[in-house]
Amino acid sequence: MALMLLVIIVAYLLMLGLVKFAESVIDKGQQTALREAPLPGAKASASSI
Amino acid sequence: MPVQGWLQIILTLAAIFLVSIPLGRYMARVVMNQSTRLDRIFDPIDNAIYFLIGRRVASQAMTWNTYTIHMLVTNLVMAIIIYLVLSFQNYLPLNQLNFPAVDPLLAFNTTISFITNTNWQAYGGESTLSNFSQMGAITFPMFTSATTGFVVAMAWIRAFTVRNGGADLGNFYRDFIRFITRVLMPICFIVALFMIAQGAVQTFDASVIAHTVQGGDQTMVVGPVASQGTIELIGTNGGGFFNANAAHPFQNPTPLTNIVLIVLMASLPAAIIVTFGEMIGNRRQAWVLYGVLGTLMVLFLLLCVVPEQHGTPMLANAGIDMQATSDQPGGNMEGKETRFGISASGLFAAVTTAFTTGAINSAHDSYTPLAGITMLGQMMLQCVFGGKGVGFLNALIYGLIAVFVAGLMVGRTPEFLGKKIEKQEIILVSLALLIHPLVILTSTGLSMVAPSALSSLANNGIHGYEEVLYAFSSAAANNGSAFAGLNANTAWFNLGTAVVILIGRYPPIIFLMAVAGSVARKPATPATTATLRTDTFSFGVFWFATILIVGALTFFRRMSSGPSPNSLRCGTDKFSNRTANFEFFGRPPWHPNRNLPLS
Repeated sequence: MALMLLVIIVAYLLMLGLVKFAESVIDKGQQTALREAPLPGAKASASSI
Repeated sequence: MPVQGWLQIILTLAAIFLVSIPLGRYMARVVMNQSTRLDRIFDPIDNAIYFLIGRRVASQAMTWNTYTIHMLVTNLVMAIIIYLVLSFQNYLPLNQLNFPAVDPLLAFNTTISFITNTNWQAYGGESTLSNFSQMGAITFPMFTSATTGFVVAMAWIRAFTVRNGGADLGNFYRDFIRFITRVLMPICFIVALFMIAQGAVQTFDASVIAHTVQGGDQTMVVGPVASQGTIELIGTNGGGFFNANAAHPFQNPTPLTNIVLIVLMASLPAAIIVTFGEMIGNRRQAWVLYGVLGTLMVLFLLLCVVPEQHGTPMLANAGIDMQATSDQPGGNMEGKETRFGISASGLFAAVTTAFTTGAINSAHDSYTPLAGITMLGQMMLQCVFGGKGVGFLNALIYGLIAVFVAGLMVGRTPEFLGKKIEKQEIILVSLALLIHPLVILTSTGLSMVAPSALSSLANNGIHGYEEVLYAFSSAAANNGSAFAGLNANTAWFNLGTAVVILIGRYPPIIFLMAVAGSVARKPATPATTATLRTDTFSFGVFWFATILIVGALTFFRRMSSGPSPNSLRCGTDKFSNRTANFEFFGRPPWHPNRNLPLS
């Protein structure tokens, strides 16, 4: 009985870890977006969407 | 199908539509903390609960990750309570039938199943659980799990409307309490009284003795059935008090209650789309989504009820009259209640899998294979309205993919509701989308080679495969209905389905909440003539096609190995005695008995 209770707790802790993973995906994406953002005044190039 | 059958279906669908509009607008007012006429009644109740949990906790602004963490921790605490109730039910009150403690593996499976709104039942309620367990471990999470799905969806919608950089997506506890006290509880109270008036059982007693016409005595299990049966349907939960679920006359006593139950299980998930339109201030967008999902649902419904009424050549060859007459309904009545007939049973089966409820009023295992495609297909897509909140979010996953693909096709920046959809959102959306097929296909594949899983099957070959595929599709979609014919109370299925349920529930929610957090930080982009509008008929068609194409690419192979050959098998009695997949198509070249004649 105690074992399955432990499994439940561990399962939810893993889910909390997944929140951290999702955070890192967002942060990485935003850092990339900031790095690739055109400087103020820059003109759109042929590769701009 | 007789005219009254079609009329019953059309009127029920119309009732769902008509109920969902005012309900959705009311829910929007609740979610947006706007005043309603019922505030005088509910404000004191809510304030008392806020006082108990601490006003500061119930008023703090939450970012997406704070909101998600509070949701997970609350779910964990409730899961522990449910597990302990099941494990110690022999020491707890209202155990008049002296049931022993629930086996740890079964208690684990039941806990995970009910805390996630799945309600997969590997047990028979009337032969396993005390009335205290039915209320404390089954009915209680039916309220909270439905609410969890709903509030997550509401926080997600707020991400597209807030102008605070994502610092405030609402307060989890406030949303949670308000939805229970102002939406679920009042509806459940009124409907439970109606069910009791119609003949549903509601008592703290555990059994009654009935004197049969043959002079014998029969002990019948009773309990708080009406109250559980009501939230079971309203919360798209599906876990019945009895093993027979809504086919049991104590839970679903009349054809009228049957229709009410169908309307109940569909109305809140449909109303969420109306709520969505109100919250974003764009009803047109909501109607586009409503139209997409409604069209899908009607198509799947037809695929369910028409073959059921038509029957199969195999049944006809067995001497069963397929034509409806004044004294019998014709078609495939196997596994169906004569009180409800084909139309009300087929409609119930289509709705319970579309809205991922999982309640049943007929044996899904006995449906024709084409109707099986409806049930499996809707659970695999998981967005034909879907469960409360989560189904809506799944529909939006397809919407975001449609936006991204359409944006790339026409050379415009992908935007949804004024927010740019970029790489990180698409990564998270793709992860959320891929988890569902991954867990279904992996678990089904492993079960097909595991002796401990195969020993649970009541049927060999195609149909046995379908039973396992259905079980894991139901678990991953948090549906909870079973195809029957499968002994699910084994270590393999108790552990396997619980893991699939957990992975099918929380990671997609977490990834979608992360998407919400990401878009909430972005400034809204004003609509221009270059903006790809998502509230148009043409985008609705594209959205519809995206759902079908992505769904078909993901699951077509599974359908072609299960329901499709089974349908061909039932199409003629020639192959009726051949049960194995390879015996129908011929054995593959690597099969050790490939040169032996087929039996």
